[in-house]
Amino acid sequence: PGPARMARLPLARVKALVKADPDVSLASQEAVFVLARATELFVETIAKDAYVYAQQGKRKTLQRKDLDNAIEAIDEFAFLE
Amino acid sequence: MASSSGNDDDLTIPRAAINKMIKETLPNVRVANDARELVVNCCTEFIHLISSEANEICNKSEKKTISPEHVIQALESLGFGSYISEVKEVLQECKTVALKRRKASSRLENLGIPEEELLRQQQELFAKVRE
Repeated sequence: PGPARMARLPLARVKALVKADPDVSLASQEAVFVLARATELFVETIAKDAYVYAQQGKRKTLQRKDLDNAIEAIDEFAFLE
Repeated sequence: MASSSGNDDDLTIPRAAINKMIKETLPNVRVANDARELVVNCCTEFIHLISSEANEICNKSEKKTISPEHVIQALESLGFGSYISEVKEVLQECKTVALKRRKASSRLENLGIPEEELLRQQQELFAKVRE
């Protein structure tokens, strides 16, 4: 029993998304687990990064433009532009 | 909201799962609907990004199936190296569960084994889980 974990992504859906790309080979179950966990971390990270912009704007509501700002500012999120 | 097997391109992570994760990450923050929608779509893009890179890495190896190590290397090369230590914890859990399952099925197959051997196997299994 480890530390409290975040909500989990449905593995079947993650696997379906991987399979949806015809150029991508089959992924092992463990690979899908790892990808799902990475995606959960991605959501956590992008939400927190975007929230910084809401706070700068003295808002308590996270808006789409906060995400857009985070995407533009952060190198790893360049693939989302 | 179940969809029949339609267009694969409409596949996304379910909104409810994303909502729950956002809520756990930002507990007292209101989030606009279009912001949530964007997060859902970003997840899809992220999964495609990482799996494409992992696929390239897999192709260069002698393996035919994308392994967790390929995914980890993909995360590293795409700038998500900070996720790796937590991702490795999940991998460790997987391997522990898989080991227990293999041991359990071999125990069922080998009911003729003397008790002391079964006990020895059991001790070995407990030791592995505690590692």
